[in-house]
Amino acid sequence: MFRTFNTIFKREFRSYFYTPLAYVFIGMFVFFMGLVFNSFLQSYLMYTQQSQFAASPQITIDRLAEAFYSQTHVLLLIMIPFFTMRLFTTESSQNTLSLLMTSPVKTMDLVLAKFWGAASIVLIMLAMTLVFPSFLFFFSQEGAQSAGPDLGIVVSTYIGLVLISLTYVSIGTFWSSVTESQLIALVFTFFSIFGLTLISIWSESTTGVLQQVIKQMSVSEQFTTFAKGSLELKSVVMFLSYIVFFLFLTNRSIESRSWRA
Amino acid sequence: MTLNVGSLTLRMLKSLIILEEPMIEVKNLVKNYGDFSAVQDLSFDVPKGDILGLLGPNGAGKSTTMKILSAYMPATSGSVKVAGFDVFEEPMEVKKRVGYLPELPPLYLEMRVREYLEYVADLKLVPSAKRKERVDYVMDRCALHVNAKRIIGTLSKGFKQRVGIAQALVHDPEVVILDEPTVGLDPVQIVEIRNLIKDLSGTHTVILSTHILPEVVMTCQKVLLINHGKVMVNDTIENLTANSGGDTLEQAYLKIVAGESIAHTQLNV
Repeated sequence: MFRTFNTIFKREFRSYFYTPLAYVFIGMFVFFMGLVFNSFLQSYLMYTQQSQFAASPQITIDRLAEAFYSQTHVLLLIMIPFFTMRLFTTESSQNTLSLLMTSPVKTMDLVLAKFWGAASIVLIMLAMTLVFPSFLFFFSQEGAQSAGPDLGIVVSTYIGLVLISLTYVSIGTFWSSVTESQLIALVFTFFSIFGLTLISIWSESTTGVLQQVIKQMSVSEQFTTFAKGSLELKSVVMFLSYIVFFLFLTNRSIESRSWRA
Repeated sequence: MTLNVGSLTLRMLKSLIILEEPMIEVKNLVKNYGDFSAVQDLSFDVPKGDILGLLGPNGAGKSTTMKILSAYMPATSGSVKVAGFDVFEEPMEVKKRVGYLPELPPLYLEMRVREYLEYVADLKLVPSAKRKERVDYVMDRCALHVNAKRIIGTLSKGFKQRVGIAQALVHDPEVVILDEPTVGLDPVQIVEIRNLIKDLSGTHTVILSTHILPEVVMTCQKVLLINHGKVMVNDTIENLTANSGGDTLEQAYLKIVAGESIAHTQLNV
């Protein structure tokens, strides 16, 4: 029911701002992104002064943008577990889960509201980084060989980042639902997220079908296709299935709580 | 015309049946945690408007029974009906009609008192138009107005307990289940909360568990005494004390739970 979802979502969203934690994290994220962007601009200036790159500035800026966004990905990977670790863990430790479980609330509404609560914070954080490509578009020179980034690549990269963030949030939501300890939820989320990213390394040492499967499962592998500007349906489907799968597991884990309570 | 009269009598008959149907109906309730059996074959009824005192030593199965009644967790076997709905078949309908205060009040420590109660009212689907009125009412009855804007985590134990009671009543539930509601309250608050519970009788059906026996005498019409997950006594307080041959509920309780010897020593002290 929408009202229940809305009630829980609003509380969840607000709960990030009861403590300075969200402000500190978002501030830190934007600060580090600023540092990365600064180094991006400097290396761009350095490259454009070298003659062999001057011929095709378009390629250079998009290459560098790819590097820039993989840095964004790494930062998200580090930040997201901190935003998801307390989703269900505090509900168990404060016994407020018993309030939710004895209210007319469908478990799926609860899980979705929690997921969106954390996801919206992460998306807001991500939206703040839009200032960097806007900056490039704003200051790029008009004319035939403009130095601005390719709009298509920026759009597809952001779609990729949004899908990755939501996938990580759904994994974090799941781990927070299986334990009462925020630390355990944090560590397990880290390991799962790193695992999904680093699994591509393993694919190097395998061959055939297995290699293909691992490559398709790897988040970083899928992300590079977005960062190169190609929006592939199979990648979108893969991310969406990750999200649905982990939210389904969360739903099951919360439902099973009442059997063990 | 005849059809109308017919449906009218049918409705009257129905309402008669519903009136006679107890608000809470527990039949052969069993709850096992793995090998441990917390509740064994528990059966009892609570008529509408009654206040039932649930008594028993620690680990007797009181909290487990209350959790099952509030549709928080399913039973191993047996049937439980609350307000005419089976807790297993239609848990949503039961949850709409039950207010539940667990042993540890379910409080978001970082929220403010009023904000929290409004949140609970929304969760319990109180119509938006009635929300303010209901929140004001429970804050009034639980004497929370002074602390309306305080953060729950900074409140004393007694105040936290009162917020817990307020959250159980905010949606005006037909059935109120209170697990040790007066723990941590000061004497004045205890009297106030007892009066509040007494006022609920008639319109609301209340089950409350407690270790304070005079409280049961003051607030409850009937007593359900359980031990090791089994019903020992299910009777009115007068009958219970009369049948056990003692004078007070405390003596009767000790006789049933601990046996003659301890009850006797207690008498001599």
